[in-house]
Order: sequence, then structure tokens, then C-alpha cells
Amino acid sequence: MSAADGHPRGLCNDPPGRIPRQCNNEQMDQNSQDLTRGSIRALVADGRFEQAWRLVAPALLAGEDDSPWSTARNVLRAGEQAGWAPPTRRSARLAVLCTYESSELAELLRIACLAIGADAELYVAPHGQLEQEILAADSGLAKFRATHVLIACTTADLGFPELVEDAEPLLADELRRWETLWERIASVHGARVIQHGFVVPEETPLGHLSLRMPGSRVSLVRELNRRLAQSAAGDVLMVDCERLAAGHGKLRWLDPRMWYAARRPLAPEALGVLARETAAVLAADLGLAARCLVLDLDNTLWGGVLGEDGLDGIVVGEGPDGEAFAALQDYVAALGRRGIVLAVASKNDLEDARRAFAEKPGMRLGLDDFAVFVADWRRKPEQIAEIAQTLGLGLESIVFADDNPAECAEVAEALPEVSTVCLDVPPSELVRTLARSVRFEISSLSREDRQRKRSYAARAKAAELRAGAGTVEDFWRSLQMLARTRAVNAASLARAAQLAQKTNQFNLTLRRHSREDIELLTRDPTVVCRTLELEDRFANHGIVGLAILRASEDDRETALIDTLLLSCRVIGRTAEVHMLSHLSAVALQRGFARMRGVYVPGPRNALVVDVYPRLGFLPCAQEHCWEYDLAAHGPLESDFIREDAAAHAPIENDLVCEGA
Amino acid sequence: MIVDEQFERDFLAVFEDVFGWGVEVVDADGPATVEGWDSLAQIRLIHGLEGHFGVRLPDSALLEEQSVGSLKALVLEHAG
Repeated sequence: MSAADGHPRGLCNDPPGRIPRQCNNEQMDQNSQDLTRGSIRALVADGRFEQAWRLVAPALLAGEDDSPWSTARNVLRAGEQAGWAPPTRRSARLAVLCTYESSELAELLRIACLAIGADAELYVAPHGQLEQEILAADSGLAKFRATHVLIACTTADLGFPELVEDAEPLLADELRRWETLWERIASVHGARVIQHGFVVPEETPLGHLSLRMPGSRVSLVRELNRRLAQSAAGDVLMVDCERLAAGHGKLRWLDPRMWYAARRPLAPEALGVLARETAAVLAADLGLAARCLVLDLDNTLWGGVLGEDGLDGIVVGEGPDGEAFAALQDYVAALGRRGIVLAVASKNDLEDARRAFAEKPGMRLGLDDFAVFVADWRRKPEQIAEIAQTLGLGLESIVFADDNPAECAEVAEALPEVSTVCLDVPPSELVRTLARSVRFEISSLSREDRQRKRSYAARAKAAELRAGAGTVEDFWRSLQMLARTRAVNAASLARAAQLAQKTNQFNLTLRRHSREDIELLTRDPTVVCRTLELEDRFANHGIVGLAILRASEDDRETALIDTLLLSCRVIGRTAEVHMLSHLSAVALQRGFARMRGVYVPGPRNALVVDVYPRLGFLPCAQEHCWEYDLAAHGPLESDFIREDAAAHAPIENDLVCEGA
Repeated sequence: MIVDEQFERDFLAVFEDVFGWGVEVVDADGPATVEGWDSLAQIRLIHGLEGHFGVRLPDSALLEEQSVGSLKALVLEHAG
């Protein structure tokens, strides 16, 4: 059989010819896709690129179908010609180092990043040039100044034989190879590594025995993945390609035809999934991941309609549907424990809805799991906007899940920043559908993430209290706030960097210091880096503030406030005064005559425009710049927050150390 | 499968997915006359045609030089 007579050769068993449509459902999907594609095209023809993009972008972030990618490419192509680009919230310089033909992956990555809100400028190295790019001083990578380097590799790179006698030397060599590259990328190029994991081969001549043979190729790849992940720890971001391939179906993930013809191991649909998941990992590292999940109740968290079926009529916990709803509640609860803030937005009677959680047997979520519980008869966009406001979160950090396509569409239309997950699926598909959202990716799990849920609940409670308190000062006093202001150390470094990357609202200078930047600053004896941990009578909010003070370059007597930021959880309770009070005391102790603060305007930090003037700083010649005369006025006072005396010991030590 | 207007429309839709909306091609067109028709575009075309028409084309279609006309013939041959 030859290729010329039109028949395939090689490994594929599929004969050429018609592939039957799998089911009517898909056919309907196909029709609705054609409809959507038609309306997107009409919008583009109209010059309404933004609306067209809003229709296509969500499809890129869910599902496995690859037709949205070409639609998205066409929207972007037409937009570019008209001078339009999709709005983004963060940017990155991403170098793609690929061991296989990379142009398609790179193209899809660029589109996926835009869909998730990141403007990624790409450098695509010639494929198969990992060592050359990373190790040579004059490589394209060296010139590019990447913030992130993606290593996209394939199992064929490893050259593992089907079976070896002694696995250990092979594994050790291979681990060292990748670790060396990671180390060089971090130390020489100053970039964060994103590493694709390896896919365990599907075909093995050893059959099921391969699992029990430590020297089989299957076992070697599994073990290498494990060791790479262990070594990556908190420094290297990894994409779990093995899980993605298995979930997608390995026979559809890898496409030998593409490998032989184009030196690219993945099927076209798989490249889309890989690009999306890689973009999600990058986005999480840039601080773009969602922080709050807002849920509908009827036919979302339970089966049935509470207002019609009553407490006894709704279904959760038992029976096929009940188990499926309980499974969704379990999944949501796990997201909550992981640090995603949960909230309810439901068209229901508030008391009835709350009673359902308290009294209905089979419920997995309890009232305590939700930081905000909104049940009334307003439109969903209004309810969600209120939730965002109560929590002090931006709309773009909210994901809304509802079984009703009309409500989803209404929210998508009115609040385009909110990501919607439409749970218009049979109960058995609920968990999968929610799990497919890539907006919940996180780059590391800090203690603060896990505490966040409690802390947001405390914030909502504090909001209630504020409504009851006489004056805002009474309210602050009633909170009985306790702070621990400490030098940034190894334990708090990750959180400090996370705050610098993610804080948009209460952030005076918007300096996006990376973890590496902050680590360098902490080693500089002339720089003061402090985190603030805040506790009140409701909750310990964890580390919620970061302040960096250094000598001004133009005047050695002036201490410049390089960074002053607070998590939105604790805005409006004088925590900034407490940090400035601490900084001013340190500055005075170090002999500075004055402290200078600047405000750098950004899209969402208008609320801090007057922080300095309110505290008695006087305007300088430059705009948005204020100075505080330490010599004349002494350190600032923090009237409502007490410093935890027990925490002082490490600070004193650190000061001695820094002064030396 | 008969070559009718629907077939022509579907066929053009695949070309538009790859080369942009509004692209116009005739049967004689190929890599030399269509801007952007490189090896990557050809892979996208084959994949798009396979998905759109529910066919599996021979591996050789990815690499052998094609024209619009030859691709139509391939699809028709394998759609049976």
C-alpha cells in the first residue's frame, strides 16, 4: 500500500472515509456553533470587535472543540487591521522553547492568553534549541528579556528505551538535565519557568506488566514526572500534561500522523486544550485567577425549585440526581477550602433559602461556607454587583455559575468582566462542567489562601457591624485589631510577592515586584521590607499588607515609600496608618529627616489618591508626591490597631541585623 | 456527495477559517497564489476539511502539494 493511491500507511487503523456523526447532540452543537460564528462575523463586519470577542473568548476557555480558535483568530486578525486589540489586565513576556514544531502552539497560546486577560508578547525560539537558547549568552532568549519561559516538550525527547535493567542512572541524568535548565533560566535570564510535564506513553509492548517494572518506559516517565514536580516545588510552574492527556483521551491527544508529517506530537484539538491550560497557569502567576465563586441555588446546588417544591421537594444527597448535586456541593466546598470565596446569588426568599442549608438533610455546604448570601428578587447582575462590593473584589475576579442560560446571558451582557459558567447540563455533568473552568488555577497554595474564606466571611460580618456602629472610630475600636508588622522573611516571601502582583485597589505605586525582586530587596541593608498581619475579633486575616521603604536616590535624608499596599479584605480600617506608623518609626531611628510618598494612578487605585495628604503629608513640587517631616512631627500614630508585643522580638533582631 | 452550493459554501468556510473572512479562491489556486498558504496552513486546511465534512484524508494529503481543486477532489473521493 502506498501513500500515492490515497490510503494511509503506518500506525493508524482508521480507514479513510466517512466518520459517522456521534450523536444528535453534537450535530445540534455544530448548528449552534455555526449560528454563533455567523453572528460573530456580523459583529466584526460592523466593527464591533469588543462584542465579537466577548462571544468567542469564553468558548476558548472551556470545551474541547477547536472551531472557536479559528473564529477567534479571524476576530483578532480583523481587529488588528482596524487597530483594535482585546482589553487585557496584565502583560507578560513569554518565551516559548519547544522541542517540537511550535508555531501552532505559539499562535494558540497568544490567543488563549488574550482570552484570559493577559497580553503575552511572545518570543518563539526555533524548535529543539533548548540548551542553545538557555545557555548561550547571545541567544534570542537572552535578548528577549522574558518574564516567563515555557518549556514545551514531548515524551519522545527523553529517548527512554522500552525497558532498562537499572532505572536510577537514567532518571538521575534526566532530572539533572531539566533542573540545570530551570536553574539557568532563573539565575541568568531572571524569568519564571513554566514546564510541561511528560505524557506517559499509551502503547507499551509490556502490557500491564509495565506498571510493575520500574525499568519500563511507562514507569520511567511516571517517575520522572514525580521527581520533576518534587523538584519544581514553589519555583517552577508545571502543567500536568499527563492529566490533561488522560482526561482528553490519549488516543486523541497524541496524533502520530502530525508527528510524522509536521514534527508535532499533538492533535489539533489537543493543542488548543494545552494552550488554554498553559495560559491559565501563566495567568494565575500574573494574579489573574478568579477569587470568588457566586452560585445560583435552584437546580444548581440542588434539584428542584425551593419556592415551588418546598424544603421536602428539593433534591440533594440521595438518589441519582441527589448524589450528583451533593457531589457538586462537595466540589464547591473543596474550592472553598482551597481559598475561593463562595457566595450565593439566588432568586428566592432569603429566610427559606437559608433554612434549606440549615435543615435539609443531605446538604454538603452549610451557611458558614458562604461569605455572602444574597437571596431576593432582584436581577442577577445587581445581586452579583452587590456581592462584589461587599467583598471588595473586582468583578473580573468573580465566576458566576447558574443552570439557567438566560440568567448567564444576562450576567454576561450586563457584567462582561464576570466569567459565567453555564450549568445547563444534566445533574451528572455538573462537576465536570464546573471543573472545566480554568479561571480557578492557582500557582501556589499559601496559608493565607486557605484562611481567606474565613477572612472574607469576617469582612461581611464586619460590614454588618459597621452598619450598627455609631461612628467609624467606634467601629474600628470595636474590631479590637491586632497587627504583626514583620520583616519579609523566607516564610512570608511568597505571600509578599503574591500581594505585590495581585493588589490593584489599595496600592499606591502599583510596582509589581516579583518574588526575586523582593528577595533581593530583603538582602539590601538599606531597604526596609515589611509585611503586615492583621487580626480582629472575628478572624485572623493573615498577611494582608506590604510596605517597602528605601533611601531616596536624590536625597539621602529622605526615605522613599517604594511600595505601600493592602489586600482589599482590610481596606477601610486604618491598616495603612499602622504600616506608615511603623515605617516612620524605623525611618526616624535610621536618621531620615523626612518620608516621601508617591501615588501612581492606575485603572483601579483611585481610592488611595489622598492617603498621604490625609495623614499630614505635605505636597511636593511634583504631582502626586507628598512628604512628611519626621524631624518636626515625630512618627505617625496608629490609634486603632495595637501592635502584637509578642511579635516584636524578631523585628528588633531584624533591625539590628539590617543596621549592621 | 454531490458538488452543490452547500458543498461550495462549506468548503469556502474552511478556507475562511484558515485564511481569514472574505478570502476568495478558485480551483486553480494553491500555495503559490494564496497568501499565507504554507505548510502550517495546509495542516489547518486538512484538519478543518476533515472536521467539517466528517472524513479522514490520507496522511499524504498533509505534505503533498495541493490546490483548491485537488482538495475538493480528495474530500469528494473520501466522502464516498
